[in-house]
Amino acid sequence: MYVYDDFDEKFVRERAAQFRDQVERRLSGQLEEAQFRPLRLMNGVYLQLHAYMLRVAVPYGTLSSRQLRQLSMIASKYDKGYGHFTTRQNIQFNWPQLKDIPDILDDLADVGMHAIQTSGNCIRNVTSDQWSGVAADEVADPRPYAELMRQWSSLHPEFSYLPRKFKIAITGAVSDRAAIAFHDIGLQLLKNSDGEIGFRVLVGGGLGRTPMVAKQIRDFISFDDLLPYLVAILRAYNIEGRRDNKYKARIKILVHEKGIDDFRARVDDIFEGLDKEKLRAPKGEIERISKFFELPAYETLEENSPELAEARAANASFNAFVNRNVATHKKPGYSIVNISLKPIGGIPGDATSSQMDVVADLADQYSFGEIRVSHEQNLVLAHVKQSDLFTLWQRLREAELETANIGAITDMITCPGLDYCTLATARSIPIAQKISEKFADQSRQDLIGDLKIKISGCINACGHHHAGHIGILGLDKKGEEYYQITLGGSGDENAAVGDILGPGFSADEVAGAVDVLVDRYIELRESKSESFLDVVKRVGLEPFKEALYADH
Amino acid sequence: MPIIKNGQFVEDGWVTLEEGAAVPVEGDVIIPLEVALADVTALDGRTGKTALLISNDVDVEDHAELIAKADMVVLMLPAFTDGRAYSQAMVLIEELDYKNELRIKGDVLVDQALHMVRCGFDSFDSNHEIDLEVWNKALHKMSTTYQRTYEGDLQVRS
Repeated sequence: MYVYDDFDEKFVRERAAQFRDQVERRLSGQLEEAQFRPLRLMNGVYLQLHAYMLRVAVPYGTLSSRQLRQLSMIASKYDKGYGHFTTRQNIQFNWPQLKDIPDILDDLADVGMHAIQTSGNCIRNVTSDQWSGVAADEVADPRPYAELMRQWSSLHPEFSYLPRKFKIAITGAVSDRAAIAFHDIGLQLLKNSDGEIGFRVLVGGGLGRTPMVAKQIRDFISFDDLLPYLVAILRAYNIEGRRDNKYKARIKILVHEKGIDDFRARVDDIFEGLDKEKLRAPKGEIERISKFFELPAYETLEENSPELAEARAANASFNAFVNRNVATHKKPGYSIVNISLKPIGGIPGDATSSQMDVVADLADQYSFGEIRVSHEQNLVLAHVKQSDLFTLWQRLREAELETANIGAITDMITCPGLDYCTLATARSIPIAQKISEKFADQSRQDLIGDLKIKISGCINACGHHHAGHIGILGLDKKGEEYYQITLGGSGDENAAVGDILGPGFSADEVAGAVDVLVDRYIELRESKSESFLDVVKRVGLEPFKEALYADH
Repeated sequence: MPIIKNGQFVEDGWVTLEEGAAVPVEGDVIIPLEVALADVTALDGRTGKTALLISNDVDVEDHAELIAKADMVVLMLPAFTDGRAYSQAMVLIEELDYKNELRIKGDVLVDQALHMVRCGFDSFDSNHEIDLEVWNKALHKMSTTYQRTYEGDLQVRS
């Protein structure tokens, strides 16, 4: 993975020192809160319901074991001993003191990390596929390009005060695990007929109160033109994006109001006039970065490990774990291990300091010291030998990290909701916990198969409810929390926004309603291989509405 | 409020044209773009220097000809959170090849000063009382950058 050179380190240290000075000026009253707010946001510092929250960037979801140990240290030293992994592959600390944050940023800089642009109306942390580099269906590894964009977007002088936040996601695979169609810019790595690397460019996707699937603005842009083309899109947005209403300020609204063809023409016009040579990545830079992402020194192994087959046959729980959490690696004899942060009844995405330490140790022992964070709020060890899986699983079990539910109904994306967030209109975490408990039975989860539930505690949709096969949106009706259910959303390469089923449910009713929907699905499916989403697509909402509201 | 230039307060010889006033022949005058557009010939007969004051919703490319004749362009920053002037500046410099003084006026604060310099602004007219020491310090908090724009003394990733 990428390691800072002297230049990167100097940059991040200076940035931390700059923020230390800003915090001092704020604490001494030289800086008003209104002036300080955008500065702290651009360093990842939010003011939540009960305390400041610090969001630390995990660029494209990749961490070294050393970095994860440092996050664990920060969680114990400055917080309450845990951290929360987010849908943008970042980690949030919920209880730091403002006065400590400059020290935390220094601690982060010690391991080549920062909190730059994890909030604010600027270009946010670039996200990517958590299986980058090892997925069987990958055209090319997107991480070098993501790192290049991380550098290019850091403290960009022209694009630090945009109309609204700006999120870029990139995937190198055919199956989209990075939800690129729900980003301001989505990039899909491609090779053209000459074998040249380039990008399919989507623009104007997003969730929030106006969910939109991104539209294609270019079918192929060459690597050389990538940064100039991003400048053209951002300049068009910075100049023309709406600033009169923050709910209409994202690029998706501009693209929607202008129409994709007019927007493309505007971008092309800017693009043509740019001094592209100056805006391109420095010569040799992508090659320099790419070297850090060369695959580790794998052993030559058999396609299928006999030890693994034996252990699976002997241990049903382990077998369930392998079925659910282990994915095919492109290298024979290796596998991708997904570690669920969704224990039954737990808080989705939370990890304690000791769990982080365990994962860091396991990464060192079994996965070349590298960890990934997925946008579905889980962790990944991307290079595990099949023959090590059983031992690894036992170690995970000791740390209560063995939950076998990746992609299953209890592997929910959930925003922090009203338990933490000032924007929330309802709680999300207790809803997730109730659903999780209702579907705790492993055999029932296996019977249901792949089903993605996504829960947001307000219309801003941080829990991606629009993209959930079952989406749950928490709202407030005269001081009472109630929950609207949508069906048929999807965040993959067939991105779709879910449709609202009907009247909402109280906090006590939601898990029961989900139960009814799932039972209906089991009745409706033609075979076990027909997924929940497939059934919704085939039969529409009516049979589900009937099941839910027949008694009402 | 004095103008900041090259890290110093300077006496500003420019006078901003008052609303409704006619464009004078003499003197160094800052003229709102709308006034200049209404009577382009009045500019040609001037003996003093002319600056254009351009609000942040203007597409500067539409006024290339006028801008080419201006001795100074003043871009507006009604709120420091509104970053349109940064892109206007880049378009002026990169697309229109504008080379004269480029000023930013309004909610100019020390913590955005470096961004402004890096987008090509070279004089600053702030609504606030600026502490020059803090201003100059803020300009030198970073010595590194990843973008090639107006990098000045900054070390650029190469």
